[in-house]
Amino acid sequence: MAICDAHRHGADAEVAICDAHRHGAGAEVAIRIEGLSKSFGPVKALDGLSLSVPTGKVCGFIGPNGAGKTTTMRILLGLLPRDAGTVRVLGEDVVFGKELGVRSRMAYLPENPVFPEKHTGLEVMDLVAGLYRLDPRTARKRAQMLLGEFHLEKASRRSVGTYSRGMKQRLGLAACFLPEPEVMILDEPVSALDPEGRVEVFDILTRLKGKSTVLFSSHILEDVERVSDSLLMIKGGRKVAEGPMEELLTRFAADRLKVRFRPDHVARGKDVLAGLPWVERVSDADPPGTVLVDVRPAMMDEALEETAFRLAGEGLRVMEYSRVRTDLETVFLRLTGGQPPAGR
Amino acid sequence: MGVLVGKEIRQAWRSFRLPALFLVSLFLAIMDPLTARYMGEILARLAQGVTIVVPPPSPGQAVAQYLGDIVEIGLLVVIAITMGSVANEKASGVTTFVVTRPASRRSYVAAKFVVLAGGVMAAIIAGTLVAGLYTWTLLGAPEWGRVGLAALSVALYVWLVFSATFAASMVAGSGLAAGGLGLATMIVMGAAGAVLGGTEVGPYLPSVLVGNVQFLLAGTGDVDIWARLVRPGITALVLSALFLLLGYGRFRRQPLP
Repeated sequence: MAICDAHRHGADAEVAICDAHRHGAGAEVAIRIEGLSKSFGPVKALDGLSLSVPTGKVCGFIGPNGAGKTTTMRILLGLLPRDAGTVRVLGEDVVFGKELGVRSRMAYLPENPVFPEKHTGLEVMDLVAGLYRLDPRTARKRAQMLLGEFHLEKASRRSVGTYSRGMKQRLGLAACFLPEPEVMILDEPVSALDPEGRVEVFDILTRLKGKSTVLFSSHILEDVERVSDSLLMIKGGRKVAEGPMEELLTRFAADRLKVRFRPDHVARGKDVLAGLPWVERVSDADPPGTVLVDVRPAMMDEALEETAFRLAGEGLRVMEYSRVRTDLETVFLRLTGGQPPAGR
Repeated sequence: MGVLVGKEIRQAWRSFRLPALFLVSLFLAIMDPLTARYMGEILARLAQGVTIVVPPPSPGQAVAQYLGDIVEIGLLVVIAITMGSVANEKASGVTTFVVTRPASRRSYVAAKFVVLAGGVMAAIIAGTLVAGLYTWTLLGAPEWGRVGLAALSVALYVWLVFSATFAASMVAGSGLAAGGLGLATMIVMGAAGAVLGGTEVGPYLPSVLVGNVQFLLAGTGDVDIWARLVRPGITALVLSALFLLLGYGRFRRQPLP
């Protein structure tokens, strides 16, 4: 699966995956959205959004605040009507106001999980098991195991009203995992967790790869990069990028070079670099003497081939010269129109 | 739906909504016959030097006092426990918690309705039985047939206001708004009875059900069940069904947070 160059239109445009490279068809796609639009009064939350999530993959769903992530999720769950487009989950059309059979195969965690008042953690798990019609004995054992895994064993007989936000998020995750759903939709699943809790949750998500399809949103891009097989990036209700994580990172990593000059050649080296036609931006980085070179879109081959040659031609002494492996945050900022901080 | 009914019973009990309903009903069931029995003596003690003649209360009057209080105080309690039942959960996200799992919106509201309506009706039946039995010990046996008809009249009227409040809770975004609509229903029903009582539609109005209490329990003549109970009862049930259908129709199409 690859991102087609022919469909790549620069930083602000959609990075599409051509039909031949789409994530399979039918059973290979757990979630498929096509031409989805939704407005709230004059505000266009989603604008012809199309995307697909391959079966059995963990898919990170990212975008700036107000990009339309939660709206997309709510439409996927049938909580919100759409203005246009189609939404299919596990082959079933999601239509607002219609009973969905597919709900027995999905689970959802909102950003701020809420539970029925006056219930204990264990009762919430029993309720979820009952709604999914799980065998009560098996479900109880699994519930206790999950509560233990999420460090809620001691609090399991306390009212959820006494839980902290982090505890509620962990209970919400345990409740999602209980029925072993085929599709999980998680909205900021670790936003209230400490670093240790985040690692634990993502370890569990990693173990689910191949078993469940997970679509999760997060603003912690480091986590998204670590755990996701594929990535969906939206901005202003439109898709900005979609594809396997490694391919996206590789694709965008190719647009940056790192050059380290001998200390007395740094200033002149920067001047020379800034004058090259394929260079978009030059910024300082650590260690001293290091310069990051942002290359204009689609000019990386030329930049790789010519930059070192030009620098050598100017008599500049280069200690290090390499392509930068861009992290997701940089990719995100570039595709959403932000600027990566100097030095990254 | 059984799982959801269990959830509702747990919530209604632990949040003190169901116990409150029964406690108020039983409190009135005990206090009203007592008050009726000793009202003469209480007044005599208070009004020193003045002779007040209070006719001895009949058992029917004591039960009528209880059912009258249910229509006034009891209804306010019913509105209070019903108004937030759906509206507050919609706002807090509990509704989303339920309906994003394999549970339909219909079963979600049906479970709530069953538990609350069952609780309200059970509280009226229990209260009427206690009031009747206690009256028996204080004043003698009431006419149980008439007590039953009067209680049924009150139950139908309460059912109407309860249904309107529940429907409002499905539609409204907050419990307070739903409570306001429930109270408005109460007021409109009373006003309609006062304004239209003498017209051709008067005998069909649910307010006739409230008037039945005194008529049935204070009087001794024959009772035209069709006119006193069935005709206004059908109106109350039809209006209740209409409110509920409209409320659910709106709720079914409501976006959820």
